[in-house]
Amino acid sequence: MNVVALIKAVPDLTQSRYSKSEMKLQEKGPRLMPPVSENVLEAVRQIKESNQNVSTRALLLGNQAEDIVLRKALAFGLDQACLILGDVDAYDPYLKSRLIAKALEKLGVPDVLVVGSDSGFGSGGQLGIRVAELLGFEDAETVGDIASASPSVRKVFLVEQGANQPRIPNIMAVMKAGSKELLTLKAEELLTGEEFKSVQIISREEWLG
Amino acid sequence: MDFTFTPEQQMLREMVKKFTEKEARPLAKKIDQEAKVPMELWKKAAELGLMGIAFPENYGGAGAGEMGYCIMLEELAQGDASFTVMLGAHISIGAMSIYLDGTEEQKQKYLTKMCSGEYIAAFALTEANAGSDAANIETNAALKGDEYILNGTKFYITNGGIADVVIVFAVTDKSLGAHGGVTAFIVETKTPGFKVGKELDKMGIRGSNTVELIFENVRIPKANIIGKVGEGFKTAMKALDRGRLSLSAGCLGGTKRALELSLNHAKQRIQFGKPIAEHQAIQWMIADTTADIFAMESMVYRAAWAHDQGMRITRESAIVKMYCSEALDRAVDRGVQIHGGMGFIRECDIERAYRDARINRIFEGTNEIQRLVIARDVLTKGAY
Repeated sequence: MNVVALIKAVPDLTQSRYSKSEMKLQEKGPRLMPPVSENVLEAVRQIKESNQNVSTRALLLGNQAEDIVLRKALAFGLDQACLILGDVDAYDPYLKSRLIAKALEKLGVPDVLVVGSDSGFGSGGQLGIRVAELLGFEDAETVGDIASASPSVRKVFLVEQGANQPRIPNIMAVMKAGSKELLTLKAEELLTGEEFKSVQIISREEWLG
Repeated sequence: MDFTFTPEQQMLREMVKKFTEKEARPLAKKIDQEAKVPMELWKKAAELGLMGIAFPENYGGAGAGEMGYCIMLEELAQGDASFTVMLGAHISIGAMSIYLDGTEEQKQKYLTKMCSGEYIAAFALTEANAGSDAANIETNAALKGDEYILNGTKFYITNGGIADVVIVFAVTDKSLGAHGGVTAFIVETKTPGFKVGKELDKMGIRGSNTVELIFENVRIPKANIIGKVGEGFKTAMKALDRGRLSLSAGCLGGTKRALELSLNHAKQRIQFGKPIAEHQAIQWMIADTTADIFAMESMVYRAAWAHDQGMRITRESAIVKMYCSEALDRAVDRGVQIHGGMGFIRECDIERAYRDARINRIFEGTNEIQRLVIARDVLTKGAY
């Protein structure tokens, strides 16, 4: 069984400040893995532990600086990790889901997809469902406790924040994760120029003309 | 110059930080009150591989080097000082003595179990009449057949009462003095004649186990000599070089925690109609501790990096130990001052931090000895 975990990187809100004048967050410090992604990884770990012949992969849509977040997935015990290089903050949820679906088609469509049930990639919690639809998955389920769920094939599990207690990775896994090779795909190579067009995020002033 | 930590080091810091916040810090008050580190905490740390952090993978370690080890102690020290000292004595001077000068057989037999946390290690150099004057030790070992017969008493031994293995430094030839006459032995604590004396009731780091050890005709096989006969003092000094640096990383963590506690209090304590953090007198103390942290970080990781590059760091570790232990003392003192009367109350974390900090200027070589080491090194080798 091939299981893919979709994880994300978020700004460090203890260091970043919101600028009222610019109406945007002025980020400081490296991006972090949010708690819900840790819950996703713990869920994947539990699927692997309770099933045989499971191969696992983490997928993150982000920039090169965020590869540290992806490496944490390897420290959590996932077998492989793939970074989709792209300007994640400029993409709307539909484009993000198309990029992820394309990447999964390229890597091999997984049997099970595990994703956070809240605002994954800033997409209001719709990402997992959208990817599932694009990949033709028949079933999506929000789970609190993955151990009680049955990981049948072609299924998306939406994991809630706090659904489990993520274990702390051990030091040996951390050290190995630091030097393990990451697979990298470029967003612009996954979709053609025309496909890349999406709903643009514009300011209120622009919208009002 | 690139001062960024590697991805491994960043992840390591985050991992230890989580362990500290989840497992160690919540127990700190209890550890202080009951004067005991629960073995459950040791086991949890062992499961994560913390005891093997500084050692190579072929001994069950993580191969994170001195940099990784310092990062770990810096983070742990923000949770509980007693546990940090327990772990530090086990790794820095106990297990490290075997790693530095032990035989391959000794490493496979003992170091692997120390890395896994199955064995707890202690380092027994100090005696009642041999503290700063470490060369004046009286514990002796006499060769009889294929064994050495060990007799004497060691004092102030961290982990001594809970250790499985103690590295004991004993005189094997009094006529040769410290350099040539002292040998390091691996002593298993289940060996007949090994006795634990009284446990010492301390001002701070109350949870770490500090005892007197008594050796009465303890028979040690020759195979348990670390390095060569008569070269024990060299082993001790090399281990202490490492120990001083990692101790300093603990001081750095303690200082960061003292600042965090001080800031938390200063932001919420209102006097004269505003948080005391807005008063200049408090701001100066915050600035001074922040400056100390910057200096400590710079020197701890520069020395750790130098060590990992294979450089000898005798002078550097003495400088770092001296500076960091005194900076920590200044930080906790300011912290108590910022807390005012509350800082003098047992319930308050900064009160415990104040007591825990004091030992750092004394153990692993008093700061007076560090100054001596630094000055002698400068006078013989030049300043730079």
